[in-house]
Amino acid sequence: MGKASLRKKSGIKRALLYVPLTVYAVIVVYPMVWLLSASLKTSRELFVSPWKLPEVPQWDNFVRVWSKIGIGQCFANSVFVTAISMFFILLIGSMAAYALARFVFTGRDAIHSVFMSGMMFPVFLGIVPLFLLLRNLGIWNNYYGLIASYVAFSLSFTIFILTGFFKSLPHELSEAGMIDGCNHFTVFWRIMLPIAKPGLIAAGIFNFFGIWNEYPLALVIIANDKLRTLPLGIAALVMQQQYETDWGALFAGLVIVMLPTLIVYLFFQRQITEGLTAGAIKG
Amino acid sequence: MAQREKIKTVILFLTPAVVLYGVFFVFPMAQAFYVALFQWKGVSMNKQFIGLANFHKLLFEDPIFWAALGHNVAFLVVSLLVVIPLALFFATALNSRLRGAQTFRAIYLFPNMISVVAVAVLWAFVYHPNIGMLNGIVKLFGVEPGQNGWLGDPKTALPCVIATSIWYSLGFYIVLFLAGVQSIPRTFYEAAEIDGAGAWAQFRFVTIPLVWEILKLGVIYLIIHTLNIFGLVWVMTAGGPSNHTETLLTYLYRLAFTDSNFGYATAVGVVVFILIFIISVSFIRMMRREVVEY
Repeated sequence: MGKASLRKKSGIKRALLYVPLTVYAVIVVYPMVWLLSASLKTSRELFVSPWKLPEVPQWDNFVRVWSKIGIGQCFANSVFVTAISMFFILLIGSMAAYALARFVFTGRDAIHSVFMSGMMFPVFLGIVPLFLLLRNLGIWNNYYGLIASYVAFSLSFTIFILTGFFKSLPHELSEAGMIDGCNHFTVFWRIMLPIAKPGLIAAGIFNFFGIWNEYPLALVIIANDKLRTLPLGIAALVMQQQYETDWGALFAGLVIVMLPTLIVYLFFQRQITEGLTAGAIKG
Repeated sequence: MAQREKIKTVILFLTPAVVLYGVFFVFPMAQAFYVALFQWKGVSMNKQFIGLANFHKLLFEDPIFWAALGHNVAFLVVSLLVVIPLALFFATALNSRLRGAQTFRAIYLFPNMISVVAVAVLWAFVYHPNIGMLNGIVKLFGVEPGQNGWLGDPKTALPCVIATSIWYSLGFYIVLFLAGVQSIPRTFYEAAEIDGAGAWAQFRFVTIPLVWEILKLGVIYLIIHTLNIFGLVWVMTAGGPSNHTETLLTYLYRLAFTDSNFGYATAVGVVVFILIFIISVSFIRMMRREVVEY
């Protein structure tokens, strides 16, 4: 067989690969397109013609779910909890990672391995003791307890990513800073953090998805309706709509939960795929 | 002077992380092994030490525990049989210099970025008895769907939830394996092709042995994910109809926060932890023997 025909044959085979690739892409995308269309329909349309596009887009579904049903409040809560948690995770995590990566001291390896082993423990193992602890400390059912738990549960992973970054920075950098009269803290803040920005971004992205989407801890720690984060709000909405059947508003709520993750995903797609696999290959 | 300065810095930098992690993570995790030894019910803080009695009851007198464990094992086995081969296939396909491979990858990973609650609600509507997509498809083939919907029927509920979890997680494994496949030098495939190896032979004798380590990692992730499954099941079915989709963690949650049976619930958590450990270690062992040395 000539080389040209061999290449042609493999070309046809490659073209055939598009069939399964496209089929699975449709399986992934179709439910979301359906959701988008459903979020703009009336409840009657959903029953009578679930497959068709909305006759008149019902933007009011979004208005109702946002203000009357209170998903807007949940959205604000989620923004608040995610922002504060991420700030503390990145600050505290990068400080610890810096100390563990750049200094030699007794007990360093022990502390490092205690942090790393945290990635193996399932959240639910400690959920009852955590619940009782927060209740005893008087920070159950409020954001102090939720944010403290989010920070504590995210530190292992964050320190894992950031220690790698700090280790890879050349030692001359901090020495030069010290000679210029900076103390350790200024070196960290002015020299190391700006250079470690890619690491901070990577850790930030993964923590964003982790916390924005987090469900089990919030379910256990938050009982007050007004404090609900978005995943709690949506889950509660489903229960409620079983009786009120305002499906259009429910679907609009789902779109509202998914939209920020979609935006962040589109912006940081490269970092997300790279970070996902880099962590995997190194680990 | 410099030494003291250094120690001060280390303490200052480590303290916040160590305190928060110690109090809100390490302490509850460690305490779990202790709480599991108590009969501890209800709001009263009365707890009674009963040794391993919770574990005895769990293993020998609790049919719901075994049903739940069986469902987790079903999640694991189906995922191993479906997710790993499909993810390897798609990773290999995306690696063959196709136009649009980046877009496909981006699409496949997206479900993994959405909240499991949103995924659960969306799919609950795919299976919905009145407005569900699946009923529409089934009717096209002339089959009359059941009255209670796919999630309300004890026979179909578990397969439906498992299918959703595969839809949710497959992209993650595709991206994971793609990184492994991409790290294989093209020359290996070219050499194999010159030796007359077809697509399957190349896959079997070049790809598989060289991504074996990442494959192993994927299997470990799968074990951890499937034994820890909670949100998807809780929102879709809450373990119902009548425990037919109950998993270990939905059972734990119900025991702890509906029945306030704290000691017993924590014993379930300890069992899940030990199971993950045992199953992971045995898979690592099993897969170690098959590594092909080049």
